[in-house]
Amino acid sequence: MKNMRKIDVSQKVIEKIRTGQVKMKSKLVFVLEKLGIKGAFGLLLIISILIISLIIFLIQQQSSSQFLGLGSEATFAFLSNLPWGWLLAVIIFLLLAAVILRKFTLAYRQTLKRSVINLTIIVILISSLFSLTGFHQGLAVKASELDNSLLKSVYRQALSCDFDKEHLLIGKVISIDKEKRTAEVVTIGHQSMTIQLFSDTKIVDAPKAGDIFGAVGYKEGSIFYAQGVRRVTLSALKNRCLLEGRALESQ
Amino acid sequence: MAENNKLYQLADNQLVEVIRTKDEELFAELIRRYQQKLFYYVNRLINHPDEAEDVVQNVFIKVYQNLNGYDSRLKFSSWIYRIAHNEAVNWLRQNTKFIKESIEQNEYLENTLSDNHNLIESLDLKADLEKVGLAIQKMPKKYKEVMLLKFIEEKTYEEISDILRKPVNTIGVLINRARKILRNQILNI
Repeated sequence: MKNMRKIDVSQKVIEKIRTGQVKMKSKLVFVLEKLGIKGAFGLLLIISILIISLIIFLIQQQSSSQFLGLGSEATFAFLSNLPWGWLLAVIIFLLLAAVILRKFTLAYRQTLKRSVINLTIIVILISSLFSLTGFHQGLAVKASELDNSLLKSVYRQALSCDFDKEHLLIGKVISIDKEKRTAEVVTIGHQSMTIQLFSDTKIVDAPKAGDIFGAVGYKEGSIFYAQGVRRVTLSALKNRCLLEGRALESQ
Repeated sequence: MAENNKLYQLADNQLVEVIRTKDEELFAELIRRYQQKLFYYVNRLINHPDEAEDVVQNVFIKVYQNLNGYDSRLKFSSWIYRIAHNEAVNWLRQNTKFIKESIEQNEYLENTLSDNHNLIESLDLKADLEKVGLAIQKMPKKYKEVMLLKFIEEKTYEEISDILRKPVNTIGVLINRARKILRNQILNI
């Protein structure tokens, strides 16, 4: 039968080995290759951890995160403030890391989706712990002291006092008129305004006269129509804008 | 002589270690262990006996060159089958005209099937071997590969995963789909 055909390639192969036509690659080649791959993988993970911890820092710094849960405008403001470029970069880095992992280890036994999910969970956990170290806080302070630098552009969003002032309002309550459902306030820009509440305005931890508050809604002249209002503390609002907020508190 | 006999009783991994560190000539023993199996496997994929012999020779040359890169966490047989698989796929890519022929007739597969009565039982098929052989040959490449490895080479899911570098779950899915396709194809033949 044809499939009973026997072959013997040993002589040809051994002859090539004996005559030096075929040589075993040195162990060093494979060691260097492994080191290169591990280095690239490690670098991608470190960069991803730095970026995710930076994103966590930026979210903590941006005022809009304090307004979440107060209405759709707050959600839009929060999403528009997210550093999408950094997020995209971290997704690409994690995908690359997963591809390297699968190509050069036994990780291909799992699906790509699982490898990416596992890597993402690990990186987010490490980033969360790393963000507690105050690393980015320190760098942001340094960046604020520099005139023009890469560092400053990285931390621009954290250093900026800019937020969606059309839909978000931070200020101090001066007086409340319960019958008219209005409140007289002073904003962090030291502007006097009236907040108009509705029957369905979401009020969390109702602010009283003298309290600092955050409101979500829309502005028309000196009236702010509130979708949601929340009492906030200056320690909760970490944004630099609150330096102005502190000035408000002393008023 | 007695020492040689001992060496020949070594497991593949141990033999690789001896070849790496002490005696390169013992590579002939590795060739002896695998050349026939690899020849059958490669030929089932490319259906060209003379070329399959050359492909197998190249496989051993690559194995020798990369012996220091072999990861002992992997079964040696999976590693060498992986190299053989890649070489066969490369050969098919460069010689596309043979793919059609290999689908039209593969006596090797039919003959192998006739030696492997368990295949029909394990596939729970009520068909003759010729039909099964033809149906496997007509399957898309990704299904044919797993069918050959599972039912002809009798590899485990994990070994197939290592040879094809696909997730173990995917191998399971491919085998199940391949069974269904095979049944349908046999009904249509």
